[in-house]
Amino acid sequence: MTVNRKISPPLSELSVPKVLPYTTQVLPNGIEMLLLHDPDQEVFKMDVVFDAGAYYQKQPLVATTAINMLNEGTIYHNSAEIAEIFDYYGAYVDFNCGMHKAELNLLSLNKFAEETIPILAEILSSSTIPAHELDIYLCNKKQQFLVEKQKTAWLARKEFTRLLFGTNHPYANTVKEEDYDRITPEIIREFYKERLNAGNCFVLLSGNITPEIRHITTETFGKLSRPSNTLQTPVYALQPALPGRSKIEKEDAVQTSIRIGKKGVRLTDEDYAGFLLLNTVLGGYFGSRLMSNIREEKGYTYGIHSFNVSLPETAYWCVATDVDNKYTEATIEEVLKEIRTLRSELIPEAELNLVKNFFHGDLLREIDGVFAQSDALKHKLPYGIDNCFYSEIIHKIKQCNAPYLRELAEKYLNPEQLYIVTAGKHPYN
Amino acid sequence: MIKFSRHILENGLTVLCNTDPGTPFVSVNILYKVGAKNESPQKTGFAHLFEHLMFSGSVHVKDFDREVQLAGGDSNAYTTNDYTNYYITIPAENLETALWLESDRMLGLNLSSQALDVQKHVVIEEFKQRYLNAPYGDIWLKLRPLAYQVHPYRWPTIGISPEHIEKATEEDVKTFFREHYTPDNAIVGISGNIAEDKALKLVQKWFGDIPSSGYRQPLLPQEPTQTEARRLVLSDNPVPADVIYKVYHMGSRISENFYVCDVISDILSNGQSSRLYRHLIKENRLFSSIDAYVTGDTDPGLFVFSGKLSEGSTVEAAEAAMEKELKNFIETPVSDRELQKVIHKTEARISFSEINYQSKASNLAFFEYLGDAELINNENKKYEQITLEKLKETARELFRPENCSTLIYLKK
Repeated sequence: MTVNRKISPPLSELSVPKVLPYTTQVLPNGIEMLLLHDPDQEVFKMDVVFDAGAYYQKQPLVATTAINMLNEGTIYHNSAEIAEIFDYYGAYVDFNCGMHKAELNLLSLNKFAEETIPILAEILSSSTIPAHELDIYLCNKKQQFLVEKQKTAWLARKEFTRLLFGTNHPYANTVKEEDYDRITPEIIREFYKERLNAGNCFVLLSGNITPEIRHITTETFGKLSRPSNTLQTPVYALQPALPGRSKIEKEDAVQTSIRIGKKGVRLTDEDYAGFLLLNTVLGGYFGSRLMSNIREEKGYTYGIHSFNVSLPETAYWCVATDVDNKYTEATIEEVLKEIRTLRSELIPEAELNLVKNFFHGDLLREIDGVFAQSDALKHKLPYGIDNCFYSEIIHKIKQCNAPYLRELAEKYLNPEQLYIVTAGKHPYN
Repeated sequence: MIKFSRHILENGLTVLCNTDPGTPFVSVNILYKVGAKNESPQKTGFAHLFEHLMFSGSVHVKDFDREVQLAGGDSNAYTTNDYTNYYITIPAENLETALWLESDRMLGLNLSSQALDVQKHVVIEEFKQRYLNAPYGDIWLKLRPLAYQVHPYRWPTIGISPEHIEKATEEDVKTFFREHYTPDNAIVGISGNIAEDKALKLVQKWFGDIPSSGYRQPLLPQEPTQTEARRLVLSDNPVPADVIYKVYHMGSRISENFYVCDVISDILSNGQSSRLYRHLIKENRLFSSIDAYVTGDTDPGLFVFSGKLSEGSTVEAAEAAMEKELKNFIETPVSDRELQKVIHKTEARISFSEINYQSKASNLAFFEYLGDAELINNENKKYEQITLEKLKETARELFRPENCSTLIYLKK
């Protein structure tokens, strides 16, 4: 059999996303439970999602500490016993704290659901936040923080968020070493009592959600007492700095971390799909203009990419890379050049077609499988939307043309509005 | 349980196919049986540099990435000490594009001197980003040559130094390609939304006419048995905490020894109920983090301990406590429950990994490289056969002081 290698095999039109339907059920005590069922799995995942992110804390580190302390001791089991139960049944328990949401995650074999789910409910309802365990946690976290502080990427990120949001806004990372010493068991217990309870969460179950798993969840989570939620949502003002250059010096740095960015586009904005497509052209995939120019042509860096992050109150957009100290200025110049090109020239048809296909494939990958869909759904719900978003965004992307993308570049990528942060060794200082 | 078919084409290419109707994608994974261990000691880091060049265009394909992306696919690769692994995930309807691209770059590269030059720069920046500009990033650069004196595992995949990467020539690239990038030195693993026989037919169509080289890799020098304890102390590092590494020589990935050592490492440090976590982090608080794991190399590998000291702990106290745990492991019997816990954990780990078609494609190729793809379905049994007596006996043999290399990495 001889094959013609000179031309690519014919390509097929990419499929439309198959969004799994989810069902909603309200537990006897009023907790909302969402179910994404896939009978082919032998495992399930349970996410308990709280309005208890960093946004709601009165001082740094409280939210993340509170959620992470949940498996450190309850009225019924101490830290060692809780760990022993989850480990014995091969379950993975994980804690996440974002800006607005904090999460408790359990990944477990179906056959051990009866052993694992009740303990998850117990750590939610009956944690004691033992002082001794808290002290260990904080000492170890403080050390991790000191390691992070050594990284130029961390220094650049921190300065970038400070400029974008202002130091008083919780979106800015303002954690200092002393903050670890200011946490007390009382502060954590108060936040736990106020925020990490059955009255302030929803449950998302995905995988093989058998009637048995639903039953166990109802018998455990459905029986937790549910304080009426009278919590106030704090209000913060965004206080962005003036755009421009900011340098963080690190004497012993081998490379310099660069962040170039500004306010971005929110998930629910009309231009969101188009802006993501534009971002993909610039720095959102391996063949992007930034990668082709700065990595593949010039060899300044191992990687450069750009991304848009949507947050409930705002959004930001950013180019990130680490380069040898001597390439810092040249890299910034090239990034600005690529941005200016997007604002002045139309994206050629062939390139636009390629990026649309890549992005379409990437979106399909983002919701491939029941667990990917449950993660995607979790991040859409706070915006009042669900995974039908994927069908819509793919449809919108197909409609985008080059003049529209140039308009978006003019609207959203004005070089004069950029923050340019460099953290590393600045040779000409 | 993963159902798959296995065929060897006439040119020696091994093909493993698994059907997974739960995804709209297919993963095409190609493992080449060449890694950093096959490099010349004077030009280390070459296998990895070469991996970068595999994306720089082949006989009929000017721009590899462009074609992948146009088909809605995604592609990447990695290099280990033992092998080099490439994968493309692509919507199932465009599978042939992936096979066209992979077969064309197996057929021949179309390398420009400019591409070589640029990728050298890129890899040197990678070296800096991962190993020199990161706290604790250089530890394995120092630890490998301490633990291995003869075997090529003594250098990491990135290479001994950026200077080695500078030295690569076009001639090196051509020779390396000719010797190692041939169908009889490669394994294709496919998993995703495609019937097994259809996938095989398409692989045959695109790869069937690529000639094999018949090249045989020279035998690697094997590491002699270590006979005395080794120790290296590195001071004045710009890090906030001291770190201790202790590594012990153990068996290869397919040896029975590997499975026993893996269980020992799990009992010691997998999960918050493990011994090291309980004793050294929670009870005596000498460490802020601690880990025990096995490297799983195809030649005899390492059992690794790494621990970061808590603020205020001394190296002497921390090291003594680590050694006491090992002594304890040999002298106090492991309980049935501890062993059962590890069996459950392993079962869960394998179940979770079987969810993903990408990991199935790469695991099929990897296990075939080890000797038999069927291992993918037999690993559970190997763990279940381990007895308490075997654990004790293996630990006694493993944790001898003269089998150990210790690296102490001190803060400024």
